[in-house]
Amino acid sequence: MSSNKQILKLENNREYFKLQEINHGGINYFLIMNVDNESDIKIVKKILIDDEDYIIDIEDEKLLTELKSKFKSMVDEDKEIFK
Amino acid sequence: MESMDEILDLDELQEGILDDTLKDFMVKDEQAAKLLKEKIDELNNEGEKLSQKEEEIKSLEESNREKISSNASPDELIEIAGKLKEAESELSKITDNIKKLESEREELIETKNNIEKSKQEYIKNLNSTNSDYDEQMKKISEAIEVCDNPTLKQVLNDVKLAKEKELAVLQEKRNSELKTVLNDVKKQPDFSKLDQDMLNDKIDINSNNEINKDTVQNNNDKVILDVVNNYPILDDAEEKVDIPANDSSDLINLGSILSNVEIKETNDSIEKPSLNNISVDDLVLPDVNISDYNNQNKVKIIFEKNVPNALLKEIFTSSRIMPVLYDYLDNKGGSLI
Repeated sequence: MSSNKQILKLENNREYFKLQEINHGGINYFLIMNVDNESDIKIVKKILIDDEDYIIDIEDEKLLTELKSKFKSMVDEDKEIFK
Repeated sequence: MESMDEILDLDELQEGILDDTLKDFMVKDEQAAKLLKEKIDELNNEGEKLSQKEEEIKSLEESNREKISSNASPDELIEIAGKLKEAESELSKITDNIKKLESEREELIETKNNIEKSKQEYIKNLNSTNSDYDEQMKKISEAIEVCDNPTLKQVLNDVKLAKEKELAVLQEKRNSELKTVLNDVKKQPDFSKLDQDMLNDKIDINSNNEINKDTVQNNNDKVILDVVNNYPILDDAEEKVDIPANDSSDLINLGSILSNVEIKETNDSIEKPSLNNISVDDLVLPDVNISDYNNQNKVKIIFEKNVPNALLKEIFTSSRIMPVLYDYLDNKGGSLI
């Protein structure tokens, strides 16, 4: 069982399931899904500013495609675990 | 201490002294001789007067005797006696004048002799083979002491002062010339005596110093040994020396290079490589730029909490969620928060 599965409470009062987390190039990326809207799924980058954690969108399509591929493999693994 | 002989051109100086001083001696000698001649002439004239008076007195005495023998009247005798007394008085004056003139003549002769003596002594002293300027001045002083004539003594004093001034001018001129000569002497470095250690200290072959082209000077293809940066600077790329990395002893053909080496005398003419101060404001932090994130749509994470396993299992086994998830992961595009 992966221990990185968490619910993120954001400053805009939205909550997301953090389904996966990977470190790529020294930067952490999250695969998140809106708790209230299951169709709202995205990959975001986690940054640290003044000891505060923030998430931002990924504008680099190439990077995003690469991350999706990695996250898909991880989801496949977890899917098998929870069968 | 440097002797006067080394400073002064004694021949030239002595020649000048002889000309001026002897000329003064000759003038004074001529003056004394002229005065002496005048006195002698005057004395001769007085002697003639004396002789005339003596003849006159003799004639009066003879006339007086004739009057007495011829029984002349008393008045005639008194008249003759008066003339005789007057003649004798004149004779006495002439005699006194002659004595005075003879005295003056003796003084003039003595003065003339003194002048001649001083001149001879002076010439003798000046012609002395080992006399230096101080000795000459001493002799002039001695000549002054010997001289009894005040006018001549003043002339000699003036000559002495003039020579002392001339000495000062000559010495200053000589010192100036000597200083100029000494300053013109250029001490050229003897490169044959440079040892290898010294050269290695001057030419740091293994240093990472780069040749600063700003210091290269076109000076008839000469190599300038930049003593500040410790490397040779060549003004022609074709003449650059290929320097091996590790063997400094064979790095440079010293004979060919040092023959064209010009060592700068002062550091003023050496252009040092400039070092630019690093401004902190010019520093650019690599990679992470927080300001860029400020312009992006970032969302702060308030807190995180773990998801219950039951919920996770429901998600990953949900027939409704997983197709959407796979759909997203298979799509090439992204989605906004």
